[in-house]
Parts: sequence; C-alpha cells; structure tokens
Amino acid sequence: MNTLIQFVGENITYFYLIILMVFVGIELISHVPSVLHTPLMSGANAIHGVVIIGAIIVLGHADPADYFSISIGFVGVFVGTLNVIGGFVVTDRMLEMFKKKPKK
Amino acid sequence: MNYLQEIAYLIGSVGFIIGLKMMGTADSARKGNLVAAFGMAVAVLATLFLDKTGFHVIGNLGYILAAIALGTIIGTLMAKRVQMTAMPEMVSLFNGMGGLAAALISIIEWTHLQHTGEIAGSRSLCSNYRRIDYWYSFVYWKYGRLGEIEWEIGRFSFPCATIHQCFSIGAHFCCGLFCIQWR
Repeated sequence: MNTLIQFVGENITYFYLIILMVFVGIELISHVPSVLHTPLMSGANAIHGVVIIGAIIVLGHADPADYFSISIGFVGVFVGTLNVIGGFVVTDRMLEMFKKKPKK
Repeated sequence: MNYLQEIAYLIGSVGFIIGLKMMGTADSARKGNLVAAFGMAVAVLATLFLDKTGFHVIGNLGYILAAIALGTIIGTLMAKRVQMTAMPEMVSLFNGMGGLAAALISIIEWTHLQHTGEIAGSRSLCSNYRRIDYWYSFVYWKYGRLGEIEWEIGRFSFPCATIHQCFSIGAHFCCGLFCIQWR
C-alpha cells in the first residue's frame, strides 16, 4: 500500500493527465449525432496515426550503416504515413457526403 | 534548452482536440478534419526540423521523406479508390497499419537496447501488445462482418466492436502504467 501511494505521488502529473484525458475524451464524443459516429471514428483513427512521430524519431536516430534498422524504420514510417494520410482522406470523403444534406 | 519542439507538439495536440470536437457537429465536421490534419502536419514538421537545441534537421532525412512521399501517394490512392461500402474495412486496415508501425518501432528499440545492455521490460510488453493490436485489426479487416456479430452472454448482448474497445482501452491503460514504472 505504501509503495502504491509513493508510486502515485511520484507520478502525480501522469495521473492528472490520464484522468483529465478521460474527461476530455468523454466530453468530445458525447452528444454526437449517430450519423457522425463513423467519420468521428475514422478521424480518431487518423489521429491515432501520431505514432508516425515515434517512427520518424527512431529512423532519424538510426545509424546510417545499420541497414536492418534503416529498412525496418523505413517500413515503419511508410505504414505510419498510410495510417495518417489514408485516415484523413477517407474521413474527408465520408464527410463530403454530409455537406449536401442541408440543401434539401 | 530550446522548447520550440515541445510548444509545436502542444499546438498539434490542441489541434487534435479542437478538430475532434468540431467533427461532432455536421456543419463544422469537414473543417474539423482539416484542423486535425493541420495538427498532425505541425507535429511531423516539428519532429523533422526541430530539436532540443533549436533548428536541427533530423538524420536520415532522405529515407524519411522518401517513406512519407511513398506513403502519401499510396495512402491517397487507396483511400480515394475504395468503395463507400468497404469504408469500415479500409479504416480498420489503416488502423492496423498504425499498429504495425508501432510494432516495428519497438523491434528497432528492442535491438538497440539489446546492444546497450538495458532490460527492455516495458517496451517489449508494449510491443507485444501492439502486435496483438495489429493482428486484431488485420483480422477485423479481413473478416469485416465481425463487427456485426453480437455475443450474447446471459441477458446482455455485446457487439464485438464494444469488446474491441474495452480490450483496447484496458491494454493502453496497462501499458501506460508499465511504461511510467519502468521508464
């Protein structure tokens, strides 16, 4: 119990972060009309592709002579970009369909 | 110390949150998507051209830009050509790509740490989870109907998507805690 309290106390910023993020997340996705659920999920997935930052950092710090790391990192940045760009374009295509509705 | 990169990341994160919020209303949804994309662009540019010491171009820039260009072209083509009815499977596949990227990062990090002799407990745990996430997304994409199956347990019925969400949230949370402990 003591170690747990110490663990929480030492990392209190992270706990604040996690708890506040939970509230932000709930606030963001509540009261959304159900027709917008699919594009919202798709957009959130595109944002989830932020892992590309990590891939860029890892590839950027790899030794240029280490072809194993370079090739794996290259594929990592490539699939990360697929996630980001593909996600945003797909979301944009979905939302394109909603734009025409209010004209009716 | 130069905090330009951190501030750029902060702007990017705020862009994500505002973008998601705007996507919750039909009128501003498309703009919200652009705001989120802008946040991502800020974060990527900050990673490429900023450093703790200020302006500093990251190493292997040629490889990185080539991978990004290739990913942009193929990703746009895939997203533009997919049938409207096949969208959920496509999104799921893209999601799996993000998981695969994380798994590949962890492979490099793991080999790197093996060379330096550090124990990579938390990282290998995260990487294993990311691999599970990747294959899960892959299966979801391959057998897209999975989301429509409902599991009936007693009087409650859970759509598979909900189970996926619970799995995801739980695993992310546990990994976060482990990473904090062994950072």
